[in-house]
Formats: sequence, C-alpha cells, structure tokens
Amino acid sequence: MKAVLGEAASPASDLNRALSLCAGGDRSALRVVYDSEAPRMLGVAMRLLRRRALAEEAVHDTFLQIWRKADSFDPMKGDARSWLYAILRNRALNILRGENRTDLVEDFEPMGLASEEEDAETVMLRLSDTGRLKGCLERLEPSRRQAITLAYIHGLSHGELAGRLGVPLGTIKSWIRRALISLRECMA
Amino acid sequence: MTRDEQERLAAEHVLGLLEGEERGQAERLLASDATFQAMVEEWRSRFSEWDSTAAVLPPGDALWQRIEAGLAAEPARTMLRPLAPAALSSPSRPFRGLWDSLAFWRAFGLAGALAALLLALGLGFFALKASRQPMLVAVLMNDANQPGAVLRTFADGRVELTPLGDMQIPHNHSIQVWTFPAPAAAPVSVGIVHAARTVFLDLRNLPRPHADQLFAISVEPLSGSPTGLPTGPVIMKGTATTAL
Repeated sequence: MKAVLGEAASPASDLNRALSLCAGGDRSALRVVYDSEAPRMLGVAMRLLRRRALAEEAVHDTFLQIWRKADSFDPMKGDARSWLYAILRNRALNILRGENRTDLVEDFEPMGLASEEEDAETVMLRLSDTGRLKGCLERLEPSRRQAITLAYIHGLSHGELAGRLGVPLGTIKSWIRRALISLRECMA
Repeated sequence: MTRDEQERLAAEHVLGLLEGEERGQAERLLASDATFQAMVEEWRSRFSEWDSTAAVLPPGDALWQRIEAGLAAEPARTMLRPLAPAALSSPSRPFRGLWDSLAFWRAFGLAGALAALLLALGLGFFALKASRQPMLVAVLMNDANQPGAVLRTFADGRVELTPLGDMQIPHNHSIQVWTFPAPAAAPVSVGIVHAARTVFLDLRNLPRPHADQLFAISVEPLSGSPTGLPTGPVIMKGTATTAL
C-alpha cells in the first residue's frame, strides 16, 4: 500500500525514474520527460530567446543532450528538474550569446522586442507564495530586484542591463552582487 | 579564492552573467570541485522558482518528431559498455592490457577531444577577433551635442548600433538609421530599431561606407518611414571615422 502511494505521489521521483530508464536506452521514458517538461521549457526558452524557432531549437538540443547524458545524472547530487533546466538554460544562453548577436534587423522586426518583455514586478507577482524566492526578492531594493530578475529570465548580460536600466556597468555589477548576498542569507 | 567569491561565481554562472576568464574559471571548477558543484546546485534550485513563472507553451508534434529523428542518429546505448573480462584473460602481448583497457582509451579519447576543443576555441577566438575589428566608427551626437549612440561598421557589411545614456524611443514609434553614401544625394535607410539596445544592422546592399560618411537617426512610425525618406525629427547624427 505504502509503495503504491509512494509511486504515484511525487513528480520528482517520476522524473528520476524516467531519467534512469533513458540511461538504459528506453525512448518512451524520454517521451515521458518531454510530455511533462517540454511545454514549460518552451516558455522558459521563449523568454530568453524571444523567437519561437530559436526556442524550439533550444528545446530540441536539450532533449538530445538529456538522452546522451542521462546516465550522468545522479539523484543523490541534485534534483532532476533542476538538472533538466540547467541543460536548457545553458543551451539557450549559448544561442543567445553566440548566434542571436549576429541577427540582422529585418530578422527581428516581427519579434516586437521590448514590448513583449515581461518586467520584473509582473514576474515577481507570479511567483508562488509558498516558495522562498518571492519573499526574499521583496526584501531587495526594487532596482536590484529588477536587475537580477531580468538577468535570469531574459538572459541579459551586465552590459545589456546597464543599457536597459540606464546606469553604469559598475553599478549593475555591484547591484547584482549585493542582491546575491542578500538572497543567499534570506534563502538559507 | 574565498568562499564568498566562489558563491558569487556560482550564482553568476547560474544567472548566465559570466564572461571571459571568469566563465572559464567557473566551468573548470564545476568540472573538478565538489564544493563548487554543490553551490551551483543550490543556486539552481533557489532560482528554479522563476522557471515556474514562464508560460506553458504546447510544443506540437513536429518538435518531438525532430527530436526522435535526432535520436535515430545517436549510437545505440546498449552497445556502449562491453569489454573488461576478455581483456584480463588474454595477456598475449605486453601492450595487450593497454590496448584492451577501457580506462586507457577513455583517457585517450578525452585527451583527443580536449585538444580538439582547445583548437576550436582558439580558432573561434581569432575568427571572432578578426570579425569584431570595426572598419569605421561614428559617434552620433544629439541636439544637446552629447554622444547619443555609437555606430560601428564591420568588414562583412554589418553595422552595430549601440545607444548610449538614457536614449528613449517615443511610445508607438521606432527610430530609423539613415546614411548618406554621397553627400549631395538623398539619404538611404540602414534599418529600423524598436528598442534602445545594441542591434546589428545590414549595410551589405549599400556601397561600402567611407570615412566622413554621414549617419543620422530620425523618429519614425513603428513600421519605419512611409516615404523612404526621413519624415520625423532627426534626433542625432555624426560622421564616420576610420578605426585604427
């Protein structure tokens, strides 16, 4: 009875099991991971890359890497979901930093750019009240909160943050550092 | 490096903010240092709440089909782990043990991969450096005679425009970049920009820009000037100078 409950209960253990089946060569297990995570992954990738085609490319590459690296995932060392999203963010940031830089203007006109961007406050309101991040972000000064949120969700670099928020590069760096120290203390 | 420094490096690695030397340092630590790995894992889990605020976008079947096609190109997983016992039972030649040693070939393969990676990084670095060297630079001055944007042209015909300070684009408008290939002739559009951030534009369809060529930016409707010539106010302009 207990075992049955345990199996049905946690999505995290489902992911762990799916990844270990992937490591054994079971493709249907990869599909399980895809069905459960790909829609959210596409949303995360869209925030970083803004273009559907690029976001899909990032998710595509991520699933091939999950398949290849599944046997290196160790549930003792970390959470399956955070392992999956680390691969996704890595891939998306590489696309963003490398390839998107060379975009020509006619390519990105239909993207709408800044207008479609979510600002930091909207994102904060959407954070769960049961998590710790929201309360800890609320304790930051708004400008610092904005800088660190935009860095994470839109993948803005120090230089892009400085341009966007209209402050010198050194100020951005110190805002981020202070925000990190405060978040670490608050979330410990 | 102090523990605080490592914490910052771990967090900025997760944010994707590291560049250059620090980025390499974080990647080396992540591959070799268990304490650093744990820090990175903690930051990932702290920030992961943000991932749950992203929209849920149904990916459609085509994407899965592409992934499946990609899987088909992968080597079959079950074929990857043979060997070992056979190697122990056939010690015929002195280097046979080495020849059959999975550890040796793994190390050999890794060393080869690492060498290739270093070569690729090195090539990439020099290629990037070469393509990043601007040909011309123009500082565009605004009405107050303050620098408003920097424009750099590159050998491959790209143009990088970097707005400076607190450039604002009026709501529901764009800014359009113009150049005057010949001083007496009409201006030609280089591109339309909707956000005050660094963008690349394309000059490949225009004559190669020359020193002293005039560049200007005007405010236009969202889709750009309807007439093909500047219709809104010119908010900044400047002439190009050869970059050394």
